[in-house]
Amino acid sequence: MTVDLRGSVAIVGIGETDVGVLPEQGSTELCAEAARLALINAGLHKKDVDGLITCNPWVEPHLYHAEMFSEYMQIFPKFCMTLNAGGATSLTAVLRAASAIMTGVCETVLITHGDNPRSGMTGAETGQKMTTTLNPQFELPYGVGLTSGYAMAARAHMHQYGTTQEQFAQVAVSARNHAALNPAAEMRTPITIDDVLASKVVSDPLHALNCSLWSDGGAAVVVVAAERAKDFPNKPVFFLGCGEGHWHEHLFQTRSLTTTAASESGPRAFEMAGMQPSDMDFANVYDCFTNVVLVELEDLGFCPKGEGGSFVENGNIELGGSLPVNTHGGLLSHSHTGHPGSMFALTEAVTQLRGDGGARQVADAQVGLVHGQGGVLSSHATLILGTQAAL
Amino acid sequence: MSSKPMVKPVPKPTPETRPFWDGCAVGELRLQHCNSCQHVQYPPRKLCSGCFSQEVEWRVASGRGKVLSWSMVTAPSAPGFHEEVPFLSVMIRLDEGPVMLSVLRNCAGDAVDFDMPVKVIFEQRTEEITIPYFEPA
Repeated sequence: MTVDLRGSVAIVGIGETDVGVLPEQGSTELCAEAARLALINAGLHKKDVDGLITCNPWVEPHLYHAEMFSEYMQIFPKFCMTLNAGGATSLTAVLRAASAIMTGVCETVLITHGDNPRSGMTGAETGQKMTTTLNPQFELPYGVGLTSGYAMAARAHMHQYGTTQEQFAQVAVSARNHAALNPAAEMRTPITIDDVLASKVVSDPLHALNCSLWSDGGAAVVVVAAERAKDFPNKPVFFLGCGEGHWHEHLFQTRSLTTTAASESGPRAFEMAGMQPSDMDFANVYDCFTNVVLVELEDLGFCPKGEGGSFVENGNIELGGSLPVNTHGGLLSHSHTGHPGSMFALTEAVTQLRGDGGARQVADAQVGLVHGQGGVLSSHATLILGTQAAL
Repeated sequence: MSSKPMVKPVPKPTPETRPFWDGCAVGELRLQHCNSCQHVQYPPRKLCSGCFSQEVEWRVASGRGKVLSWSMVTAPSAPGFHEEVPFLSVMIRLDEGPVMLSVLRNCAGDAVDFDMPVKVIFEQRTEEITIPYFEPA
């Protein structure tokens, strides 16, 4: 017997801390502040929380992080889980929250992430920590980093499909244009394609402005059964579908350098939602590096395989284009807080579907997609959300 | 060029990877072949990842392959490599099938190309550990 999760749960609260350089707050504090704000937004008291999902931060990790956090907040959940799927974590958390609620394990799930990798680690410590994601025997000894993995994937895409560096750069330009409309974003000064191409080469063909930020911050959501959703102060946003795909941890073990497991997570999410890519009013997809956005848009079905480059040109992924992408500014210009990074793509989707996007509001947004990716093109999770009208 | 091998990461062989590193130490690139389904795998495992047979056998590989993709790394991201940049990070499809991450030596950045034939060379890192690198074949 299976449980149909489409329309089964809703997000009724969101919380976002400030992002950027926050030297006065540690990882746990940011996680707590995000949680506090999400509960206020949902009109809930902490005693109402009976499910908790966290992820381990870089700066203050704990072996049992969710248990540590429940102790810190003096919340005593009956469902308590620390997830670790890198940048896909936040979306895999929503699927697990929905599963726990719809199987009667708990009723009100708080998902909260926070980290301060920008202020809480030195450059050397960051380098050291990031290399822990590499295979210790077969990658680490070569001195390569995560960026060179993404760079090799970018070059393979250029070779296989004729994608250009200008097309990669367009993704950074569009993200910055959205961030310019978002008072909460870290980097808001518009940039040009020439600025991206003139920025320092990090690992060719990727330049510094092809790479995301590195920020402090935290964000949280509250998930409850859809039948309770009308009882909360803010407009509920409903879970319509979710899918995951996991092919590898280390890039050299991937099935393809140019196609990712988003080609499986996307169709799984669309099938659950009973929808198509063309039904989406916007998409917030993981943009740790600009080339990843092109690949995800292809693999999720927004354009034919190999045509991501032309799809992102001429403002097509900006407000007013056929598919606004990362309306908050994304990891490239809003913030990249480490593992909590995709949580802001999720809270932004809720903001858009509530109609609270202000200057960056997508007109009549009823359905949106959020996609997270962890590791080096490794873990993929796709979530489709909608308003009451989309149910 | 000076090098500081002590600060670069050194692989710690496990029981299942020990034959691979023992091979590198004597100038052999060794791969596991499955005697049940003929799958060739890297990195080493206790079972065949193709069919879960335990009949995996170590054989000396050709040491040859082709470039799948590359990146010239200009900003070092791991400790111990600051004097080595820039260097060519490469993904190589070995002639036997598996893909290896490695670094390409003795090749200018504008000389590397897709499907370029390469062959393994070995660089000793410590008394016990030798690392497989590649160069144009």
